[in-house]
Amino acid sequence: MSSIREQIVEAAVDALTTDRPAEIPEPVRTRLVSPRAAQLPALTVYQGREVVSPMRDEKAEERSSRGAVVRRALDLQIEVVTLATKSGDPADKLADPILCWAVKSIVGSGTFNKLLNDPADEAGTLFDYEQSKEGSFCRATMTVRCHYQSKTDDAELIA
Amino acid sequence: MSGFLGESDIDAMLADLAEADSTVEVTLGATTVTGLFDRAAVQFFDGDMPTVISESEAVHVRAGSLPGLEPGASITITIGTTSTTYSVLRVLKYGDGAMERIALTTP
Repeated sequence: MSSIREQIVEAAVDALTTDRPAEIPEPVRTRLVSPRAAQLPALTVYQGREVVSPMRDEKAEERSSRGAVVRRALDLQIEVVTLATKSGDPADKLADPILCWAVKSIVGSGTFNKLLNDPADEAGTLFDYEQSKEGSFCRATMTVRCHYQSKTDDAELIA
Repeated sequence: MSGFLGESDIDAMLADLAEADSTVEVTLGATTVTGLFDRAAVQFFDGDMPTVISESEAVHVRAGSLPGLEPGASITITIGTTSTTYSVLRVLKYGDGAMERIALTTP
């Protein structure tokens, strides 16, 4: 058994992998090593942040307990690292089809078999750039927000 | 009057290093000068995931010794009998401005 959070991450990796077009790199769950230029493009999925909040308005109800169920918002990070081609394609342009695939496969996957309340939300993407002898690099980190609910006292049980 | 502190010593220092086979030839257009080659691993994209590792290559020459030196220019570095062509990524003067660090990229 694993937490609903972990099941969501696994479902996202599965979604990115299933029917993946040839130009899309194989997704890696939480990169453990530093990639070199020859290993790019790289696609990594990892957990960024999770916020847990009560289902009800604690102040209005004058209660300190969160109740039996909590709502959770998990930010998945979809990181794409690319290297510009010698023929002139900029690195951020090369990241674009991979980001599009991430939206299509994750947001388009619905609720991951009812793990989520609704389909995941694309929250935004941060682009970083670097240059070296090997060329121009781009890191695009997309945040996908997943809303779900679990039992307050058991993160493995959906509610 | 010399424009930089110690400027008059640069050619002599480079000549001493050349005698010890510690320099490279740097050619831009019709001009060839003596330079110091620098290669190092670099890592970037700090953040949550392990950094990306790449290579940095640069050559140091006396400032103003290569007419036409600018980002995008084609430059040839000769180490021993091996010549490699690069594009200039950026040119950075340092110290008192008497030397330039030329960051290189493969075309």
